[in-house]
Amino acid sequence: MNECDLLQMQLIAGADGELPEDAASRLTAHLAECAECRMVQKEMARLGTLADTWLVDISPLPADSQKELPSPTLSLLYDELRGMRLEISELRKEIAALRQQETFRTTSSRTHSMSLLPYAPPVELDLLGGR
Amino acid sequence: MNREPFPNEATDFSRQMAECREWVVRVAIRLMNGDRAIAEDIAQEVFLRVWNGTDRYQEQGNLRAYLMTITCRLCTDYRRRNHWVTSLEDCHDLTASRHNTTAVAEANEVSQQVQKAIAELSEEQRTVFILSHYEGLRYHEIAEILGCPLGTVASRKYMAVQNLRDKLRPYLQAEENV
Repeated sequence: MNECDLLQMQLIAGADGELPEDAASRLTAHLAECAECRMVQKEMARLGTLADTWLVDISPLPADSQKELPSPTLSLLYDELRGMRLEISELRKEIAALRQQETFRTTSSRTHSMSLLPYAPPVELDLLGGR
Repeated sequence: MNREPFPNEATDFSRQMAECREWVVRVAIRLMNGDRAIAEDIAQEVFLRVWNGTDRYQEQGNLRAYLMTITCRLCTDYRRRNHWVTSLEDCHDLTASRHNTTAVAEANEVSQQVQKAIAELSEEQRTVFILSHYEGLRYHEIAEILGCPLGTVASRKYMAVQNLRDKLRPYLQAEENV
């Protein structure tokens, strides 16, 4: 890679005012001497002008212009909903495991004193509908 | 979960947000290839996230960089989620409906080619080019927004310009001959 190639790589950063002072002076000095690099510099400047033809209009939109297009907000809400469903499903599993542990603990303690009871232990209420 | 505004902060915060809104919409339009309606939706989501505290804003932080980080991320997410494919038809002409003279139609064609060339850049190059060229952000600000080193921003900008030069060569030569 010759000096021209190296300095042409710095042309963009130089035009953006991002080069350190010494590198910027070296580039300026080189441009004063090198016609080829000056040509590239001009082309970069023309490209900037060309890019500026893409104008963005942000004046208020007509009220109905957004209705037919897919909504990222809606997609995000769906994603959130999906996440919540997964969380609920995980919570249900945890609750089921806890209930199982609790049933086991209650049964064990009751079995221990079963001989003293005149009747069978009451069936546990199913508050979560078996979930 | 919702973020309660601090007593003296609500007005200032809302004012700052309102001031930044146009800027966020403008950047989102360019990042979304000129699609105004999607950009508006994304901008709305940006401010919704800020207000709900989904993305935390540090008081001492740079508000513009913070907003831009969310904007860039949401635009990228949207493009990926919808398997966004770039084609000339995707480039939304923002000026054609307003003007119909031949000269303006030619200018629109150039503008559309520019838009298409930018849309065809890689995601990383396009974002850096838009933030740097159109929004005039410094490289260190872009590095902060994208969470990448300064040198990466410089090289992405360089590569973006090189690719645009190649894609727009006929128009660059035409301008040279004028």
